Amino acid sequence: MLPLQISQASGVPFYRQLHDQLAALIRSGALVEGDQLPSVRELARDLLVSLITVRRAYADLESAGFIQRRRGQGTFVHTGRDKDDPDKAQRQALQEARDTLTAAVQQARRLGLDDTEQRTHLDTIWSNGDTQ
Amino acid sequence: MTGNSVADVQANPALIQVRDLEIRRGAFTLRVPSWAVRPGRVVGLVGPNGAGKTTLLQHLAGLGPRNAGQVSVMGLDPAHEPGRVRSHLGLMSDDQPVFALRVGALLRVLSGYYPTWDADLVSHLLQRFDLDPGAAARTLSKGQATRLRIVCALAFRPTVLLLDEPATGLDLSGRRRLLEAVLEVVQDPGRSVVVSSHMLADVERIADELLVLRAGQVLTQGATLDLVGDKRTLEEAMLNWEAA
Repeated sequence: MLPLQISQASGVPFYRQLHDQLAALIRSGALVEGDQLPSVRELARDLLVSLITVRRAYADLESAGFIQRRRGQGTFVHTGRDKDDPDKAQRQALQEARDTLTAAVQQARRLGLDDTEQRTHLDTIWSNGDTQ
Repeated sequence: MTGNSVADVQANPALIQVRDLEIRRGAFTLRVPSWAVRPGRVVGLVGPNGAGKTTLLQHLAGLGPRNAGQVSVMGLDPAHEPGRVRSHLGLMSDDQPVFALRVGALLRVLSGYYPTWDADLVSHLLQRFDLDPGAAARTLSKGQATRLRIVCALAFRPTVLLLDEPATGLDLSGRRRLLEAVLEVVQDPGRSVVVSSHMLADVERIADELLVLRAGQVLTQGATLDLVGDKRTLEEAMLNWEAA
């Protein structure tokens, strides 16, 4: 049984809650490449939500590249993570983060923020833990 | 098993099909131009009192005549073959009488009417709904009587299950068990459930599709996710539809 919780009070659509929670389980490594997910009907019954809710969540997860539905076999975690190079996705994500920082620094310089001001601002972000 | 493709629909004809239906009862007229319930679906029937929900469900169960239109339930016309329809259709409504028998005896009597009666399922359901087979049906509380009616409607594994206000008098745990029971019916992709309820949050939770009625007219119909959308609840959507 997966640690999933659908809340009626959150104001977030059920299919979105389900999508986000499953995506988090896959990102964190709690679910790994090749793990089979419950069928749409099983999961709907276990969570007390409609079939269409689960179908929509699975469809969104599939187009976001988290899972793969194989006709006649079921639904599986499939992140396209390379077997010979399991850290590739992680490396790519880190590189993306570095690129984002580089782009931010370049933009700040263009707009006239000097390096000291940038450092002060970064210190504020780090000390606030305001990283969202 | 996406269940949504055109090929799928052709391979699985609708369990309920309604076209140009008109039912007149005195000054009240119910009109449903076009509606279908495909197998494996849970359909929510919602609308204010007097919308025609019960009239529609009763007709589908072969309990009332119509004035015009075509209606097919599992390929049969309920107005012409109510008995054959009822042997594979369960109707639960909150005003069905429970007789002066013990719960177990009542279920035994009913079992004689249905070839597909499932005694194992019944004992499982009695446990799930916390009913004592030795209790006198007349002495049940409102909520317990509702639970008993649900058990009776599920007991013969009907292909089509119609639930008319099934949550009347149920507490929170009773409502959860009801939702579980409904979703268990559609574990079988060949069966469908139509549920009418004022418990909109529950309907929104389990219904794949909706038929929204008001004063005998169809206000809107379709997939729940499409009709309700991301930004509001079914209750908020209902207020909009009713104001329109």
